[in-house]
Amino acid sequence: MLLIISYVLYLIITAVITFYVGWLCYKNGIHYIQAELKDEVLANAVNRFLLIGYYLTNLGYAAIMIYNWDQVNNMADVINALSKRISFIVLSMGGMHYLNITLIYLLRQNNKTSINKNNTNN
Amino acid sequence: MDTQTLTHETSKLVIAYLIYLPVSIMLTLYVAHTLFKNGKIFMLDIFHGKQDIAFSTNKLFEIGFYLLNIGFALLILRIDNRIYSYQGMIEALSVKLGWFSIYLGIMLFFNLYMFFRGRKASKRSTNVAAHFDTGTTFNIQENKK
Repeated sequence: MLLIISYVLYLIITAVITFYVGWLCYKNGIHYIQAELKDEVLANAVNRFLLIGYYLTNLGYAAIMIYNWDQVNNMADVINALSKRISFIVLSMGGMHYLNITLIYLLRQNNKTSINKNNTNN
Repeated sequence: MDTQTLTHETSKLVIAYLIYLPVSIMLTLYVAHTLFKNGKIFMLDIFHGKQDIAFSTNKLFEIGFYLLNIGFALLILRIDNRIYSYQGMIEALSVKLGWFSIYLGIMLFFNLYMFFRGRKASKRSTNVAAHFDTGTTFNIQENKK
């Protein structure tokens, strides 16, 4: 019974975190895509695709993690198990987030150097 | 061991967790708030005053900071040794919170270092851009002198 309660709590907490972080990134990431693409309709579409991809990845990962939990006997065990699983999810989200920022940075750098090269060629 | 002492131990463990969680999360929130309130100035410098992209970058780094640090706080939550008394609880809690604040301090200075590095890099790129704008040929050797 306690295990089921902790599963439900886990799913609710991870879903809330996933949706909140996704929404924040959706709101703040649009400026980058607009800076790269210029076309506003296309930028919005790309942003929405990215948001959906992020939800699918994260909720899928969260669902996979309901597997092979430790034995839960009392309240302390529930908190232990919940914090362990949620920390995995949150840390992997943080890792992916920084990876994304690095990729955007490298992309921009790449574009800038190619523009500079074009300028020198002209 | 009888069930009476066992439930007492677990309830102390739960109290310890319920103290640890709000304290560590509030600490993270406070540090992130201070860091990124001042980070806006750096970001405006880095992106040459383009407000929308500077503020959204700041926000994105803030999200990353929250995710990493709250994730770490949850990861080290588990207290393995048994807690028999309130003395033991305070000792266990102070060890956890101490390590966590040292970790937070390191992350804070790492972020500050990144801000300063970004500022330096953006200044260098403005120099390059200025060269292009004035039409002078860009020469690294010339720049070094």
